[in-house]
Amino acid sequence: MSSDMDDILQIFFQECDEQLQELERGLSALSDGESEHETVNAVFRAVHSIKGGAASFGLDNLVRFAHVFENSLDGLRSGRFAPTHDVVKVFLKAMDVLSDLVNEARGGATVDSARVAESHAELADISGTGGNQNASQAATTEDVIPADFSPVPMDFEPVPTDFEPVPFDFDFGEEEATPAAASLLVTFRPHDALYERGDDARNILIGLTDLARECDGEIQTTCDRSALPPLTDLLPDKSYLSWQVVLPPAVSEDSANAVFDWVSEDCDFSIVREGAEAAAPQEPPAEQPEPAEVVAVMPPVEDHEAPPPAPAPSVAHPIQILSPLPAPATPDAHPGPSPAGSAASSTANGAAQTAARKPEQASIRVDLHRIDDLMDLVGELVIAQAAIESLSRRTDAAGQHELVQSISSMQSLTRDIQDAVMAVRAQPVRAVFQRMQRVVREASSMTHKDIVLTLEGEDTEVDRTLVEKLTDPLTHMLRNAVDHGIESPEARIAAGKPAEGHIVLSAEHRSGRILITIKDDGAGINRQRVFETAVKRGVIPADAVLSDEEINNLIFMPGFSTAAQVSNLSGRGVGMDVVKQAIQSLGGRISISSVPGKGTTFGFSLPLTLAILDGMLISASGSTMVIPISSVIETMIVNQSDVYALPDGSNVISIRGDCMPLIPLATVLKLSNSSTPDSLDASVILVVENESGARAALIVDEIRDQTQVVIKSIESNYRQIFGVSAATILGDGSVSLILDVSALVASAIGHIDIKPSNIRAELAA
Amino acid sequence: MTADVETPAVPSTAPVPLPERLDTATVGVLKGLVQQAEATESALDASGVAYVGGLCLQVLLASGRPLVAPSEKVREAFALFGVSEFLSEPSTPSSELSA
Repeated sequence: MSSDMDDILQIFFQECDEQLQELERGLSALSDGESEHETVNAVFRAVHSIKGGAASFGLDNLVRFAHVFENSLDGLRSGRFAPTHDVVKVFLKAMDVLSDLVNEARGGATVDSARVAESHAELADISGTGGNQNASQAATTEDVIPADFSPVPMDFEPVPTDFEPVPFDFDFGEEEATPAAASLLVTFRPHDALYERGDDARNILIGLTDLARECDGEIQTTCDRSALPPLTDLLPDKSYLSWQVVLPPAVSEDSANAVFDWVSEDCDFSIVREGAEAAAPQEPPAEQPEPAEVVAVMPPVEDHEAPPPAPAPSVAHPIQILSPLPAPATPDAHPGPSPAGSAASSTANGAAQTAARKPEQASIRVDLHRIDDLMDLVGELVIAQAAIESLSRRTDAAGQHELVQSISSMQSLTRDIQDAVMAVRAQPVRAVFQRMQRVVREASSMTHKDIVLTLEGEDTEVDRTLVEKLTDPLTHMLRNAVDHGIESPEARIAAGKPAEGHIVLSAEHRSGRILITIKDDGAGINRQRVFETAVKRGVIPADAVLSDEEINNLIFMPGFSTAAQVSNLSGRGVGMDVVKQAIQSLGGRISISSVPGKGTTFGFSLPLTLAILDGMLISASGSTMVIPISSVIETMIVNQSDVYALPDGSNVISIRGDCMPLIPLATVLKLSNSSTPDSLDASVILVVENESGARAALIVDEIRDQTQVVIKSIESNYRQIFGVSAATILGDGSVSLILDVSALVASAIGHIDIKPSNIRAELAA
Repeated sequence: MTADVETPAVPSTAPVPLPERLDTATVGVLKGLVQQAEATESALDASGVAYVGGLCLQVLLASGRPLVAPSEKVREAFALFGVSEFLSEPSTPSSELSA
């Protein structure tokens, strides 16, 4: 059971992530001025679902906060206040707190209670309840009961739109979402046996009260005394009373059911959601001290000599009676003299807590049709394999021909399967992008700037591993954009720009890669300053002549800046080399364009997957190696006359007037002893480029093929090797190394101690 | 649990003090006390009551005898049982005890 609970909890957390995304999306839409009823509903629903789920796992902190959040959102939904900029801001802040609380429940860092309290107070302010949250909740609970057909548990004027059934998604969230509609009505009548066992009706009521408190609500209890005889006729150990309890809408049927887990044999009870009884008009329970009304809801009592319940209009359909639920017992559902009850609930609670501490299992949700596509392809693969098998038994020439054809069709099938699997692993970048909203929000509040982040192309899909690894670089870049890119509001106004800064984060597919751009409308890179700083730090010589782009790229140079010092500069540069490394390790490239006064655009170009790459098979000193095709600019055969020796023994090659370091691959990788081949005449070279655009020429023995290779980590299987980023297994079964072009180029540039562009500049001079 | 049940040796007009725990085990005793209070037309003194269970509640409700000086626990219990109105019924002739 415990592992079942873990699974359920995991699913809950996954759903929380989805709901938080939904929330973020909705709030973003609201802040963009969209106030569609559906958007507000979606936001409300998201918070409500989180609350509902959390309640069933006894995640009190989460439930409490979500409840306040939900209350405030309900004010918005019912039109009591409008989604103004300030209101949405408070909601966004609350969302961050909520998301942290989810994380806390998952076993993450504990959320600062002051932060929670602050957000709590802000939410209460918005909904106009001040600190009087409980009182307001009590009032709402009362108010909701008469409005038995209203799906909205709040005391607003019944505007027609509000009576629209909330259009829930027909997915997992459906059951969770229903509680939004109405209060939960619990009626129960203890049997004599309940008291005989030493239990008490009181414990059930306490259990229900606790349930309500978990959702920051209160219960409304009505005691039915109609069956109570005069004292003289009363048998002391006979049970006569029954109760009707109205629980807040946030309490789920399941958790209410759990209260009766240990008394289901000794107690008649029914649990009904008020929303389910729209068709059956009911007297408002507020006027329910009249016994008949109450009894009407009761199921008949068998072992009882008291007057049977008065016939009354059927009110509700008990939807869940006697469904012993092993799972989410509420903590303290049965305090007092019900040891079994409390033991059970504490066990369940314990299970929930253990689960919370368990590391998160990686899992993804995949559209069913993608799996179906994959299945179809696998089916075809089986057929193709059978065809090849039968063809291979034939010896005639025609058979051979067909076999070749069959193999080639299998090849294309394999490609298709590969694509299909990639599609399964692909995830929209939305998850990461939406997290960035928070990064920008926090950074801008820290720097006292007003900045709007616009997301574009969030549906662009990339491999899951890539999605996860994008978070850090993007966070860094966005913080940087907020901190250094966007000017202070005063400076912006002085420059004739709106005080509110704007950053666009977008993603798109471009020629088999994903292109992510971060564009701000700030002051742009102050090249003069970057140049001066680079000179000061010895990154470049003082007389270096650099193009604008080269200066821009300086900010990525390691050693260009150390965070503490550079944060005093107006230019960019805080830890950008870290970003660059991260992007490079993902096989990506960074580009910068900056217009002074207009803003800066950073572009990340990344492969769609980290698992497979298109590579060029080359050989050097008898070893076959793979060079990622994305870093190969051109291939050519050179003459000795193009090669110039430098005093330190290294060589540069001039290609159409461009000079670049010459890297004898076999020597650099220590595959061969001779430092350079005697003559470079007719040598094959590959011009390769690293992410910052620095080029070098690799001398190889021959170019063999161009193929797709599956990347296998060499670090996890062996250890890191200079110049090698990974390994792969070739078609003939041999292991081949995938070269790390960036490292090779960097080492070559290091050898000649200067950027290639500088050589160019010097040669030209 | 019923150790501290006090004997109903009280003058007829004085409220009958109730035991500290009105749980299932005490219900018989309570019924006796309440019947005695009924006979003497006296009220019930709930000032020392710390626990009220469902069965004892039945006895108290059935008797209709006024409860004087209900302790905080009694108020809580009655609120829990949804019968708070029974406590506040204006039938407490001798509330001087609570003063």
